[in-house]
Amino acid sequence: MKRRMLSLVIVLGLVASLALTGCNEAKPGATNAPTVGTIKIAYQNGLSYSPFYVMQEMKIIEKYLPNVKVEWTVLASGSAVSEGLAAGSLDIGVMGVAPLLTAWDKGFSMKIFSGLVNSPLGLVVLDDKYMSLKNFTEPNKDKIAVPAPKSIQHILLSMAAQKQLGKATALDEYLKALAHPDAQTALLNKIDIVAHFSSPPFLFSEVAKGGKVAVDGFDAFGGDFSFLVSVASKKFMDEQPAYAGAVYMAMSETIGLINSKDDAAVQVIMSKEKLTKDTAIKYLDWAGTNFTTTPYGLAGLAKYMKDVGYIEKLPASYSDYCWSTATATIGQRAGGPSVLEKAQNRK
Amino acid sequence: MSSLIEVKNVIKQYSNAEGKLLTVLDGIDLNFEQGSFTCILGPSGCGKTTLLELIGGFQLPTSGQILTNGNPVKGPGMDRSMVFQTFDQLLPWKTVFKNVEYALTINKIGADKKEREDTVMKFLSLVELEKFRDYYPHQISGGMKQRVAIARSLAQRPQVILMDEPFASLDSQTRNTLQEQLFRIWEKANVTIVFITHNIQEAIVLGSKIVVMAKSPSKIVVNIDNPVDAGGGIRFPDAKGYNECWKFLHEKISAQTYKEELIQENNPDEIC
Amino acid sequence: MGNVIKKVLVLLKNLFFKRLIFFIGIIVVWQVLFYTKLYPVQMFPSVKTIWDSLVNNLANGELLAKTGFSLELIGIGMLIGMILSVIFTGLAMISKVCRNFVDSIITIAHPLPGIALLPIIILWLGLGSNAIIFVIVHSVLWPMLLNTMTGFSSVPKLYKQLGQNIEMSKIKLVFGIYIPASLPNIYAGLKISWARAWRALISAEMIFGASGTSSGLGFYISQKRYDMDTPAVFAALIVIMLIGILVEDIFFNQLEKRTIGKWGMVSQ
Repeated sequence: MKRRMLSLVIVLGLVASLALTGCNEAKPGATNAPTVGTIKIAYQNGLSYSPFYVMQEMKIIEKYLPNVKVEWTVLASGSAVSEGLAAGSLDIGVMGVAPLLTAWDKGFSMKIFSGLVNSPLGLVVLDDKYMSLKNFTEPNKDKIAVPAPKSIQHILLSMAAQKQLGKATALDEYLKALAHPDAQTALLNKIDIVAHFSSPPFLFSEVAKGGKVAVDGFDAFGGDFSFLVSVASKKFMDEQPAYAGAVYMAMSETIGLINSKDDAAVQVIMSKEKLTKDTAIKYLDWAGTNFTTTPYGLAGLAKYMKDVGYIEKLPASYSDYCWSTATATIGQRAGGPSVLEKAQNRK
Repeated sequence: MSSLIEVKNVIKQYSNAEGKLLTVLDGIDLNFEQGSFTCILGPSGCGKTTLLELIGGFQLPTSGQILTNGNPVKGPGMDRSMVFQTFDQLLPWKTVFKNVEYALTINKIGADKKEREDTVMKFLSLVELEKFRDYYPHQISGGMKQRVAIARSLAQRPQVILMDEPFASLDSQTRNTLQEQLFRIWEKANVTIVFITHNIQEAIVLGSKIVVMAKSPSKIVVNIDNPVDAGGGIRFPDAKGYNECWKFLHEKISAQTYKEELIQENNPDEIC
Repeated sequence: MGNVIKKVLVLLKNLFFKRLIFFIGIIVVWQVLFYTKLYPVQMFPSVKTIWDSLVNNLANGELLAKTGFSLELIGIGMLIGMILSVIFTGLAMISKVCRNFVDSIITIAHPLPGIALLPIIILWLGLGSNAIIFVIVHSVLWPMLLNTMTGFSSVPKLYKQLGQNIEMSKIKLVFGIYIPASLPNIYAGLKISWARAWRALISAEMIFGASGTSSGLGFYISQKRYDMDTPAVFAALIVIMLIGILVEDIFFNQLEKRTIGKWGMVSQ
């Protein structure tokens, strides 16, 4: 226990100093003195965002920054997060890697601040017939729900289609854009759709109610990838590097608490998600679910998006779309979890 | 002359909001002869309009009978056409021509379009409005609207035209002109007219018969042939017997008006 | 023929000048705001970027196809709504019991936002265009019905008597007297319905509008937002505004001018 705490402090100190130097390079002459006394953070509803609401409820950022006010907002869509970051009404938000790459491509001034969670995503079907993508034959009847075209779910489906059917766009005609709750209702009631490219906790409850995973996200992607990452605005990183470092440490600590099933953290998750303790633990332990500040699969996704034309240019390096807090952790995990990830109790 | 319309002991009662029974017409007996021009005079609230609506078939009597050509009236019909007081009695979305033609189109009267058009134009020229055939009602004056309404009534080829104070909203100049015009049309078209008015002059000028109704109870108090003799022409105030007739009618109506005031003082509810 | 063209030109000119000043004003203010760089260019694109996006998206047919899809849905929805409102009004005229029934439905259903019904509509009607049409019908029917019923009940007694006098049948009375006499109310109902239907359509499409390749303007907006293609979002908004102006200024204006305006049934 003692050793674990020690390594955590060392790593956090390392990361924080990286963050500071990175920002000084970006804007020479900027003072480290805070110019604003608040940090504006947004997240969305759902288990995958749990490090954020646990951090909020347990006031972990305040531990590192006692005199700073943290303003929390719960937003309804990822689009609102990128708009808020671009408009300067948010400092840090959560989004998928695909929208972040789109934002980078369009010239929005925001980058990945840290990884957040790797999640098992999957194409859930009720009928065994649809276990093979080859059996999707009628575009008007065999509908597949995804949250939005060009979403990570759509991309994973395209990747699977590429592997199974030889053509990435083979299933595009079968798509139906639908929010997860609506898609779950429609799938389980057999209304208009036969498959749903799902994510937790919908994936978990759909499987519990008889759904089968026809396409596994990691298989389709060919490895681990970040489902969600945290993103910070340029303004925040330029003007508040000290805050950025503190938030990173708080996030790292929170993820460590969640991964070690800390009682208080699990309590927060249970009340937010309205889950029993057993279910909450079961969901956290679900194969493939990993909370970590290290982002995964960035380059692979960027290349794929460039190949299919979702983005116009290919990033030259990670630092094109990652702040130093994120780039610092990427190279450290060859051959297994990095020191930082071990400190965060990654499985 | 034969009776075209017979009103036999007609009683009409309503219950008002409090459920109290109001007697609007209390035993009316009247005959209207073929080709007659009957003017019905009476104070307001005496049931003149109700009587007209009963003849028109828009309401049915509580008791008693109304017969046209010996047949009881069961509802409105083409044989009894209405002309109202208000200028808004033309359908605003139809031209003058179409307003007159409408009854003919609805009832498929006339062999073809051409024949209908001829009929309509005939009656429009009778009221001297053939030049305004393509105007919409809102583009013509009140007097012209009333003339269109008369032409529309005539085109319907009714046995009787029921007129409810059609000239009451006109200025006196126009009113005089229209009275003359209506009189000449009646002469020419040989149509039966029942004409309600509260204007004594109008009743004398137009009516071949004059009826005075009383209020509370609503009864006929005068039912005479017009005594004023203008040799068959329109009865201008200088005609023989005009003044006497006017005085006689005025007296009868004043008595009614006086009585009405008395009744209202004693029994303020009694308004129909 | 030349006369018609001339009339159309005069009409366009009047409308054009009325609106032109307004639009130029907006464009100038917009561009000035753009130059201040108060907002990030990605969120607040220049007039030229928006214009280019509008032209491109119109030229490649995408925006037109989406607009066509939306207009088709709204057309079907409004037609069904109008037919239903005539039927309901007819029912309400037949008897007091029906009238009370219709009044109760209106009281209950009118204030319900169609979007709030979506989860139930999905269960009933599935996820296709039918669900969106249902939302449109819902937003068209009640205001339309309210206005038609008000119109019918305020038809002067005299017109009814005129109709009875010339022995019109019930059906002829409805179509020959009641409907034309109620046109001012019916148009008012139509205008409200149109505005509501348009809003309902765009919001419903933003929630679930896409099915394979067929989707409308609302979905187009949410997709372009997802793609962070702000100029295209504005381009779609311009199309929505243009359609609003076209329907209001050209369609309804002309409809009124050619009917109740010509007949002196508008109090101006």
